[in-house]
Amino acid sequence: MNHDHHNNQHENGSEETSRPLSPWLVGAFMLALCWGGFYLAFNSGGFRQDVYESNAVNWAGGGVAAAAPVDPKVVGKRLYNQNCVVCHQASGMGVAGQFPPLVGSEYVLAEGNMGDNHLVMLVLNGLQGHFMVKGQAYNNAMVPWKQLSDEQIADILTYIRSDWGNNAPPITPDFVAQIRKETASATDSYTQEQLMAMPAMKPAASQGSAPAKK
Amino acid sequence: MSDHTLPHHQHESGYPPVDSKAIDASVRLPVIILFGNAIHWLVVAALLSLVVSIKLIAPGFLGGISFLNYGRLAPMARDLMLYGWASQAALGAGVWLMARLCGQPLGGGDGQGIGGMLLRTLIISATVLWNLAVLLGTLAIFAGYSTGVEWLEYPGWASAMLLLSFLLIGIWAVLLFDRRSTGRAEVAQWYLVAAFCWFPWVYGTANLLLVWKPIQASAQGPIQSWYCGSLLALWLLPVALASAYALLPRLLGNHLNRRHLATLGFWMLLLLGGWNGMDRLIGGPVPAWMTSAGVVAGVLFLIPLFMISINLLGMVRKRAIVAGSISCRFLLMGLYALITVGVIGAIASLPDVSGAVRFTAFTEAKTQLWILGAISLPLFGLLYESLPQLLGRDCWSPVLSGRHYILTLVGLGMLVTLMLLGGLFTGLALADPTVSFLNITSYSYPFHVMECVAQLLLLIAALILGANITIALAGDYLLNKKTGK
Repeated sequence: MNHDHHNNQHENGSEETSRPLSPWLVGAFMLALCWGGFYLAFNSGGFRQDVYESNAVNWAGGGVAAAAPVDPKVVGKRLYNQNCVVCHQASGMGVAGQFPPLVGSEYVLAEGNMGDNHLVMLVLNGLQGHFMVKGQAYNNAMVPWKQLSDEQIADILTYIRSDWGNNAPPITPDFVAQIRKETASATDSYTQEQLMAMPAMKPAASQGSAPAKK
Repeated sequence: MSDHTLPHHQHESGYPPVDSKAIDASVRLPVIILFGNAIHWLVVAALLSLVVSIKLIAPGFLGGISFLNYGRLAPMARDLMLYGWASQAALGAGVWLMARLCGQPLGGGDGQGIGGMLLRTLIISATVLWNLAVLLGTLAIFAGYSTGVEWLEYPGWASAMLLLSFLLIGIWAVLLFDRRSTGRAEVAQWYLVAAFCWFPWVYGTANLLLVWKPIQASAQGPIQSWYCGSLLALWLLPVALASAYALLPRLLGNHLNRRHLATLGFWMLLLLGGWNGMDRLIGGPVPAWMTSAGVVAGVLFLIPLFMISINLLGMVRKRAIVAGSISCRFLLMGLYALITVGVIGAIASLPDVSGAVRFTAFTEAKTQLWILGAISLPLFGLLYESLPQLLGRDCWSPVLSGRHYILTLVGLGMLVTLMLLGGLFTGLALADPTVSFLNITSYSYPFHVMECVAQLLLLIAALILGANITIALAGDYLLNKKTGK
């Protein structure tokens, strides 16, 4: 193969006597490689293009460090603006004679005969027929919002209970899930009479909810 | 220790059994022109670096003149160091080593045929083009037409000229490898082939995406970091290592044992080299995995560096040989610089350390040690070894060579130590909210003053090298005149 002369021996022959490396050194190299693997696994943000915080997500995509908790009111407002604002308006005042207001509404704040469960029920399954809100009569239908998740409904309700001067305790996703389960058999929208027939579950804490006086 | 120990100065017997005189004759002119221009740019770059560092202690120095402000001189100095000096010297080193190691005169035959002549003309023309690009690019920065991309400040047309010139020279080095008459490739040849393939890719890609047709801004940072890391670790460093792998066995009269270690070191260097720059982006607006990969690469980069050092330093048996050869001393010092910069780089890439020192002189110290130490020192070593062989006589003045060696090491050591310490102090002070910024500037002032002294030493060293090679070449000219060539 090669047309070289004797001297090439020097280059390709005798010199490559392979002495083994010190096992300590090999061990150190291995250790460094292991460290590299672990470091990447826990600091690569799952190799996702949208993760900039190196320890936000681990390589499996699960959270290593807990993400900052989201404010349900912020999410709820966004969802409200996407789903509810058409009828109930951004001001929460509804449209006189057509869509009832949420501001100071006994349904929203669970006052009088109303309970938390009634609010969740009517959002989940809808409301129809003749009903009274703040002494005004309405005759309209609210569509069911079953397609929204427990989390989303809880966020929306928590939001409408806290804005515009409303001040009632939040609704938890667990509570929505519980009501959804209990009313799973309901096929039609409720009427006010049907709702009232069910015992009210009052908010756990701080009964004294009151609409702001403007 | 070894029966094969070659007496010093009988390098010839170590080279492949081909007519090394004919090979040297075939590449003499292009390589000398490359080296000569490289050293001339080194002097200019050292001068500019000195001015730049004076500006750090006396901001008013040469102030008021727009084209002499810091923002223009600093990139000019850095780019001249990278493209004028290091890359050009690496090209010269690459061509000479490749021809020698492949046992092939340029252009085939005895190298004096028409093919050889054409190739020499081509390479010399390409060298002229390279230097024209460096000159015009530098003047463009001077005039305010910098692209603003770090290390790619030359305008698009100048970088296109550089790339074209590189291809015109580099392709012959790769073709020489293809036609080698020496059988199995030496370690040095792997590095050379890798380097000559890597530069066009890295430089072309970076210019395409950042200068010629800039892509969206969010992607520019990572590309630029990749380029900086790759330029050092995949183009300049491999040539420096090729010089060490090629020359040290011959100079030390010893054999390279543990070729498997060299293989492993080579591939790991290529694998990690490109990732090496990404740790510059820690905390920046890039996906987390990029910076984390950079951190890991920065630390793991130590593995190939240790492998290579064990490989090369393992050949040192007799201190007398090292002491007797300026080339050998430069090559070994380059290796020590490489290990040091590897360790510093690994420590500095850890996010906690990086957070403290990244925006200080510490980072600059690392870069300086890379360019002036790990890359330049081996290139000096190769220069001192190759020129006497190319000219066929002992051409260096031993006094000047010795001065150059001492001043370079003292200047570099001083510069890097001061910048590391100064950077560390600045970084810690910056992290302390009770220290005012004005105080921090006054802390770092003494460091900057001493850095000026270090830069002055480096400038004197570069001037001595310039004088040395001028005398060497002039001597050749006079000799030729006498013999009527």
